[in-house]
Amino acid sequence: MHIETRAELLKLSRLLESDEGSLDFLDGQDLDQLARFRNTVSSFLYAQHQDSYQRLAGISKLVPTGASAKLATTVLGSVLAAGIASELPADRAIKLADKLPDDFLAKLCIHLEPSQSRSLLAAMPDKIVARVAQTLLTMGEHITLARFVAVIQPSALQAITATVNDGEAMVMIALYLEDKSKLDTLLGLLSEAQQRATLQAATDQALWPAVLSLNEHLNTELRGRMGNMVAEQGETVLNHILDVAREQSLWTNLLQAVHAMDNQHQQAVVNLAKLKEAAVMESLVSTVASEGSWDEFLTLIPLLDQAHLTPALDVLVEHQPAALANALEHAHDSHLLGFFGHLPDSDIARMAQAIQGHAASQWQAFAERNSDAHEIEALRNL
Amino acid sequence: MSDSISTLKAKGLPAEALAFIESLPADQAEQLAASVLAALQTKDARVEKAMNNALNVVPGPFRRPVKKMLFG
Repeated sequence: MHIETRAELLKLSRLLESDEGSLDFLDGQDLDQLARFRNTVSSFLYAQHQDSYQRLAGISKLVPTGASAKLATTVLGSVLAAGIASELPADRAIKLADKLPDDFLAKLCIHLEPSQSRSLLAAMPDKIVARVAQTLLTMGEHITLARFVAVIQPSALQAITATVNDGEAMVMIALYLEDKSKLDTLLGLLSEAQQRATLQAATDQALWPAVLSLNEHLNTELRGRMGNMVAEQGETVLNHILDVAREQSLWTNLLQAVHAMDNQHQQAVVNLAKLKEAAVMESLVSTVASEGSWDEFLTLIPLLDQAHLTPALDVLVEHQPAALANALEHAHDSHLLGFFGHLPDSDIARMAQAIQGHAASQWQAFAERNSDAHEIEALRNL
Repeated sequence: MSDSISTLKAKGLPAEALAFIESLPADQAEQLAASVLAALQTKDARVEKAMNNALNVVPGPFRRPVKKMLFG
């Protein structure tokens, strides 16, 4: 199961209070659709008791905050308190939060309905958010923390990230983020030591599927910085990442990461011994063809040494020649020209033959578009 | 339409969520609808219990009117 599907189904099973894995039959459903379903059901469940929450919130406003806090912890409990808090004016809820013990407040946050608590969480002072976040971290409440990240003030987020030294927690929070565009902000706030700890946790806790999957949501600068750190982890780790990319069809994510690295690290990764294995390269080419990530793949070809280029060409011209037609249709012409221009003289003839047999019409269109390109002169003359 | 789906419809589950459930194969639709219904019942029971706890601190003679005022 794809790691992001697993995360989404875990969120849904948590909402429905069903056992982890009990909703695995939903694997294969569209992720966005699953998330919309979960959010709709969450709002529906909240709406069933919203009227009661509103009435209790009305009463609570008439009682001193100290007494309300005492009632919340001793009588109401965290579930009801969460509903009431969502219906209180933000300033009143903040005064109340300041009087509640951290562990009760953390449990209350677990039960907050996201769509109803957004403005409350956004208005919560940094010191309270940071305190509660620490308690949630201790409780392993990564799903709840991910909800926090999406709505709290940047200064509060900074206060939280400054104290997180648990790389595994950081990966899990990132994985559960509803809005992955917040990933840049979240990871950008981490120090270099924290970023390295996150990548180390990926190795130690077998979280590379999550990290690779999340990589596609990062901006190029951050992706490059993190990518360089990954490349520095050495061949054993990199070989493991290749295995993960193969098992989870995450080649495109990996190619994007390599693409953003500096040249020295790119060379180290694309010339890993494991990439000479036919089965590995076949898996890579097959994913590239099905996902149309030719541009990411082709721009790295010139970095391959001869020992790696030959097996890559073997796959393209002998094992999966149909992929050539796909590449000629979907890759940017400049990347195709770079690739063809980089072919060793000894491989020109077999490439021409493969094109003729499997991608003749696509080649004709490509060659016409690039009639004056010197990179394909040799191929055109055969 | 299964019993669970009919019940959810009667309880007002939004059309978008119902449509998602009904787009699944029948056995999966029933399983998901039953899970949503079970969650609804669990949450009902939990809120009810919390409300009763809250009412228990109200002196006996006032409990019924307070309950009526709060929860209709």
